[in-house]
Amino acid sequence: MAGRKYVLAAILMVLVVLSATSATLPLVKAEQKKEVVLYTHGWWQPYPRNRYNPFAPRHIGLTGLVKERLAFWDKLNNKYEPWLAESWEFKENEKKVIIHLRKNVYWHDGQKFTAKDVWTTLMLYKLFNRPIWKYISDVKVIDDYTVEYDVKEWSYLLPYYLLYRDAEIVAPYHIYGKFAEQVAKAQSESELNNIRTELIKFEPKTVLGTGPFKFEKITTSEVVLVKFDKYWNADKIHIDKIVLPYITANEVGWLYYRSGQLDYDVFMMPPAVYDEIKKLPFAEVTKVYDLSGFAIVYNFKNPYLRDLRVREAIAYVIDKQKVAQAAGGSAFEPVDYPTGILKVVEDKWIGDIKSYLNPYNTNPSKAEELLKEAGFTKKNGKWYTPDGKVFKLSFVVPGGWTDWVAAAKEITDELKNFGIDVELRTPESSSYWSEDWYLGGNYDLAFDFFGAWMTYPWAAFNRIFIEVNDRPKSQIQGQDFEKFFENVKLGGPFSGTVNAMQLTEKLAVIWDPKEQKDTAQKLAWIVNHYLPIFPIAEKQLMIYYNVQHFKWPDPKTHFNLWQAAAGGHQEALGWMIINGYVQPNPSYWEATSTTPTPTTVVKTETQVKTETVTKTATATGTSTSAKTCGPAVLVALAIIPLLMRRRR
Amino acid sequence: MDGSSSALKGYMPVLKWFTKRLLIALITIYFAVTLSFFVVKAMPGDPVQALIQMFVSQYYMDYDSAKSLAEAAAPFIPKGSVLHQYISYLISFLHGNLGVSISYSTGTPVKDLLIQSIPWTVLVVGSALIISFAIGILIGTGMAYVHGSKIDSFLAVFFSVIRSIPEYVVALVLLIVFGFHFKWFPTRGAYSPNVTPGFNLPFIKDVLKHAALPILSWVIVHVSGWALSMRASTVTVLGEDYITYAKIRGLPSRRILVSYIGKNAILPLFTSFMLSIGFMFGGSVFIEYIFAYPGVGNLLYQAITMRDTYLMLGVFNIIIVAVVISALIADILYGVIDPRIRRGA
Repeated sequence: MAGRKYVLAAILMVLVVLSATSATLPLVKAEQKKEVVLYTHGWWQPYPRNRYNPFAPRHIGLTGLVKERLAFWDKLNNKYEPWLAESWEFKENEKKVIIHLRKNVYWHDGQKFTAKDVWTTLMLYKLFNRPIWKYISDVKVIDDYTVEYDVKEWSYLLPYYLLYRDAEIVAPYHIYGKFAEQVAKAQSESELNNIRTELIKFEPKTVLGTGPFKFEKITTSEVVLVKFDKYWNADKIHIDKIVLPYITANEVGWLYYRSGQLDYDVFMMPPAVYDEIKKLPFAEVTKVYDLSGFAIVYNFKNPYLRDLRVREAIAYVIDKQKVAQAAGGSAFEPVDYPTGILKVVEDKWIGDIKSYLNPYNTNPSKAEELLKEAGFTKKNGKWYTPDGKVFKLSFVVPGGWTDWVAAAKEITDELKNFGIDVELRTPESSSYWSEDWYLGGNYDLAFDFFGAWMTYPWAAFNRIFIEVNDRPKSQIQGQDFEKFFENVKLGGPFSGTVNAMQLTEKLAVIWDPKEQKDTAQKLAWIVNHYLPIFPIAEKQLMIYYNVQHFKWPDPKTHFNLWQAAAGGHQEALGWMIINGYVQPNPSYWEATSTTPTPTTVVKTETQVKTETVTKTATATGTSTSAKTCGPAVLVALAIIPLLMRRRR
Repeated sequence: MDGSSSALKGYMPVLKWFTKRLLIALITIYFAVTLSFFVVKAMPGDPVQALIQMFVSQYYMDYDSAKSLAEAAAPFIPKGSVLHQYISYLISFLHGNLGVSISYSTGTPVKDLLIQSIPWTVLVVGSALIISFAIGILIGTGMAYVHGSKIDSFLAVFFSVIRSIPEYVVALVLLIVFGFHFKWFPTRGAYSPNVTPGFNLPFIKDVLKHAALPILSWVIVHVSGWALSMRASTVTVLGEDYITYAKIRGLPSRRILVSYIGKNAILPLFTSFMLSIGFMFGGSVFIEYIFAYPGVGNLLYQAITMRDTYLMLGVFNIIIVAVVISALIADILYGVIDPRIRRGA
């Protein structure tokens, strides 16, 4: 018996010592030091099943790094740049689009990339009802490097879907061809359903793409990508490996920032953390617009909110600056002119009509005046409706969305202080975005996104006037909403009466820039004047990058590259790498020993300053600290006497 | 013949007792599984919408892309009335089929996901449970032995404070100090990419290193509970006549402490310990989340976030079965380790 205890104790001791001594070894050996590794967080852990299949919901995506699109969309300038497609022709008269593919492209398994792969991907996108199929009726392979699309409906949005959104080519014919052929031959919805189910269950051997980096492995702690030597632009790729640590919590992400163990990322940071990270000598943070914000939605089912004066009064009570601050000062900016148009393109679209727009600066006396004019009365600090009831509103926002909840609390307080009785409710987010709450129109005031992640204003107005998450506005804001906006009288620089919904649909199809601008301006004026929603603040994305390890494009001169991170920061990183904008910092990577080396770090952005930092020149995320495994030893010290005790 | 029948007669009460307990355990499992099914089904939210929202808010996707991706889960969402779903779930459950994951790993059997996660959880929570229990009873006994002294009062307050600190705070502090500051331990996952999983020394070393901080977090939070319970139990035992008698007999104090006080004082903690073994299978949601540890707790967190009904049910039902079995084993073992109970039975 006693012998067994000794054996147990010995095994434990050996394990603890092994564990402790292994902590003394550097994770990356000296000879590996020159391998240039970039760290940016990922979202994937095994179970690997369903992680490699690009049609499964939680697959490893990595657009821009492993997978590529036909074109890169410069969000800031609304321009498309060749990627897998070398060029394209839009033949309006023939209702066709011809795509000419790049010729020297290979899949990571060595197979040549051809037009058949584009066809396969598009057929499988058809299976999943991707939006591109609203605009096209067929895809044909003309030759190995030419694809022809038959256009069903010409729209200004066509290039967006055809070159960018639904143009990520993820399905090589030699792997997914059998599914694509089945889709092409399928006659009924049930056949398509069966193919869909089989496709999602399909388990490819690995993640496959044509991008600059090849998927190497996934473990419980990270995904590892290595440079693809046969990449069509391999000469410009200066990074050997990309490691994507699995980090789930923002709080943990900040710790990685602080320790310099991430090179590029977009974790949300509250003001205090943002200030601290900005001060780090090796870190830089560039803010870009997320291309979305939050707005108050007025429910037209509520008879009082159908009255424009009441909607205006609420808008005048709200202090947009304070609300943005409450939501997260470093990540939100109050809107200047509530129109639905995003700040980043405000000047382009509405710059010349700003004098006709109302900024809705906080003005409680104006709000009082408007409510009184609408027949409301104020007694003992509380507002009463024209029929003598307490003016009470429910305000619903998704629970757990801490920024929105904080903003909603601030608005609730402001409205309460003004005398409007507001009840704030925070249902769980998946419930909020369902018929139970917001999408079913069960609220008086609610929050929704505005801007809708697109610099071309159609997406923003579509969300304001037509639909949210496929639900018509009549369901979300009531039948009266549509009636109200069917015949709206224009004012300011415009005249006449328009249908806001039809105007929005027109914006999707027109190509003439002048006509686009005129339509967008009219819609912006309608939003600003009639307040179907009240946009409050725009979200900003905070892009952290390590300037000690890498040289990055200057945000002052290449802001479009950074702005591309909205809606896909890894893709923006991929594009910067492909085009040679991200380069290893020689002072860091060419250091020859682990002795402390002074490094000069130049911080760009608003204040350009030079700081001297003393650091140990080893690869990112490595450790050479020769410390013992203290806690393990403590645990052993506590448990071993217990095992070795003798019975008397 | 006579001898064997009389021996059988002798075992009859035990057999009867065991059958009764087993029946109660099965009924408990049935009701708990039923209750968890309806509670999970009554939760608001739809998995496809939850996935869309997750893609939009976490992966920064636009709605249409998120929607087309999330809708891939649709074929795996059970159809029909809740009652119909309940009956088919129950039949599947009895056959050991826990359904398929809808969102977390669409189309993957929940059983496979659990089989993959449970070993990690058992490693971390199981080791932490044993370590915290062992340290807790040692400290608790020591505190009781000097009860009323300054050190006892100090430790009682100290452990009460430690006990009230949330798990994730302890986990974050350890991560900051030992993961990022001293860099003694890895900060995420269960093993590094540069080791080959299998029964080899580098892998075992790596796994131990990765498990160290999650184990330590669990131990710090839970050791105080065991210590305070053990102290309370020991103080009660100290007043018993047989302790006074043992002292009068002049037995060595170490023997009194271990054999007379410790053994008797530990009995009330035994049931809690056994139940903790059952709950162990649920993992530690916050600790696993902070350390991105691939255990059952992390799986449960993902399942709840994504409204993955069958994955949630799978985790809950594993906990239910494990707790009920642990309680049954505790019942049986209690009779073995405490002769008074055995005689009573």
